[in-house]
Amino acid sequence: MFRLKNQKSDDCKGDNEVLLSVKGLRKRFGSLNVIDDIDFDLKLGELLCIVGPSGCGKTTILRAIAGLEKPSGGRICLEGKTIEGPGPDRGMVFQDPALFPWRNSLKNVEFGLEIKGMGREEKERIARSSMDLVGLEDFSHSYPYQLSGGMQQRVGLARALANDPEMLLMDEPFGALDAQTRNSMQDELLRIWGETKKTVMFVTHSVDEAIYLGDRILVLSARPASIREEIKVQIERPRDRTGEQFNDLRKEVLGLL
Amino acid sequence: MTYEKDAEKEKRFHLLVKIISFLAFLLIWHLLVTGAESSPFLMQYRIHEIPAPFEAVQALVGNFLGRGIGSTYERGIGLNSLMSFIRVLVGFAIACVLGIPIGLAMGYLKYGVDAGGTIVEILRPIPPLAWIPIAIMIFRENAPLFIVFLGCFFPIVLNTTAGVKCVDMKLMEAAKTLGASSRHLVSKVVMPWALPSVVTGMRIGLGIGWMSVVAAEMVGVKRGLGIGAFIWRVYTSGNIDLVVAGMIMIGFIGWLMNFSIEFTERKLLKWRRTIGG
Ligand SMILES: Nc1ncnc2c1ncn2[C@@H]1O[C@H](COP(=O)(O)OP(=O)(O)OP(=O)(O)O)[C@@H](O)[C@H]1O
Ligand SMILES: [Mg+2]
Repeated sequence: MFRLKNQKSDDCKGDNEVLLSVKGLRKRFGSLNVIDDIDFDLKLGELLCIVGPSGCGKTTILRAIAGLEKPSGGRICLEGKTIEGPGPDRGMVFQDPALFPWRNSLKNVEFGLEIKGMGREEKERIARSSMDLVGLEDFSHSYPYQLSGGMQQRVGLARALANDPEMLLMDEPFGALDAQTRNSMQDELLRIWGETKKTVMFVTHSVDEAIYLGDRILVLSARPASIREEIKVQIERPRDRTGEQFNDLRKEVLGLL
Repeated sequence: MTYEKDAEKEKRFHLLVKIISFLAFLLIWHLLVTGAESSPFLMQYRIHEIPAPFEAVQALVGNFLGRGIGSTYERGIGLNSLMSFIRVLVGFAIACVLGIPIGLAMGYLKYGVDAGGTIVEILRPIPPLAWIPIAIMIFRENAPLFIVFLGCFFPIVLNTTAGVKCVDMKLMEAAKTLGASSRHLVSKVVMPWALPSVVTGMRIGLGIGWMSVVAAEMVGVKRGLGIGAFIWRVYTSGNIDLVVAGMIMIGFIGWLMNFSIEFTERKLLKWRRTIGG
């Protein structure tokens, strides 16, 4: 492994396979200790799932990486640089999709490109291909209120993807969907992940979802969150949700929660 | 929510109710003033001198261009209303140009409300009409313009501020993760979010502005043009028909202004689902 050159800070050194590294992350809200010393790395192109009990601090970790929450301690480095605020290099897909209600789907997806000052044609081309990617090409002109929950989530994903971020942060994006829609969204995510080769950090409270999606799973403890276990998922994709390996792993993870 | 096939029927019903209630209003008015002629009680309050709807409209039409009636009113309701209308538009435009940025600043900047809130809250309860003496002193013939400005200004500022204050932080965060700087946050999140509220402020402001122009002209414009001044002149010369004709004109223009704002609002805010569609 060789060290990256031109680094601002020694703490942020890492090998070139590591995209994101979280070191000694702590977060308190007043007297409430939410995250207690978390360390982990995220490799380029990896799909990492985080599971943990409700209220343990999963969203908080993701928000800290997104730059929306300032850590109380520790540091988060993306490509060797300390994160100091939100930026287009980290695309976030929110649990409530947080679409702009006054923009139709296409305009929502164009948002980040508009901010970059991209020309109209290029902007539209990229936004359209992003809409294609999530399978919503026919709903470009629909406003968020005219879309189903799953479709809104897909617009949210397309919006993050259009910006071509280094990594995607996804906070229980399928939490509010019914079982079938959820399963098909998971397959779509895997397909998109395969096509775009994005690094993904996926928060969920569903053990099945984590096992189905992840290359790796971080199991968090109850608040204050710390990493209870790190599990490599070595089941071949496409994964059989009812297979033996799947069931064994499910048992293992459930036992940790 | 209604089903497709009922929607058409319901639409016709809405129109029907509107027409019937309006006709009923005219009928009551007509009966009241014509009936007053045989009622000593109502006559004692000079109700019978008020023109019936038809007479009022006749006076309105007859005087509109200022032809055919005595020399005092040679300039007609039309021109007088136009002058008031222009005053309102100009005052309203100035109020928007100043009020919207001030409202945005008060809502968005950390110390915005601290800086502007108290001043606005103290000035706001002073009715625009209480400013008339000062306005006449300073602005003379243009006093009504200033009064209109005041009437429009505060609702615009307050509603803009309120709209900005309630911006959805989730959307702000989403925008930030997409790379928005604070300039972008203002122009692409805060402003569109606050727009419905700003338009509401504009509508309230325009309404108050239109009401205050009439009063301001009654006091501030003695011989010049203006529907308020017109009404006062025809009243002092005892022509109640024209007083009511002028009032109808005021109501009609006010209704038209409100209608055009509502129309723009609907065009602009298609993305909002509202109660009653
Ligand atoms: N801005 C805040 N101020 C105070 N406390 C907060 C804030 N944000 C989160 N918390 C607290 O931090 C804890 C963790 O919250 P977080 O949203 O990260 O949980 P989570 O693991 O995502 O839960 P869930 O699975 O229910 O989404 C909670 O107890 C919450 O009350
Ligand atoms: Mg959460």
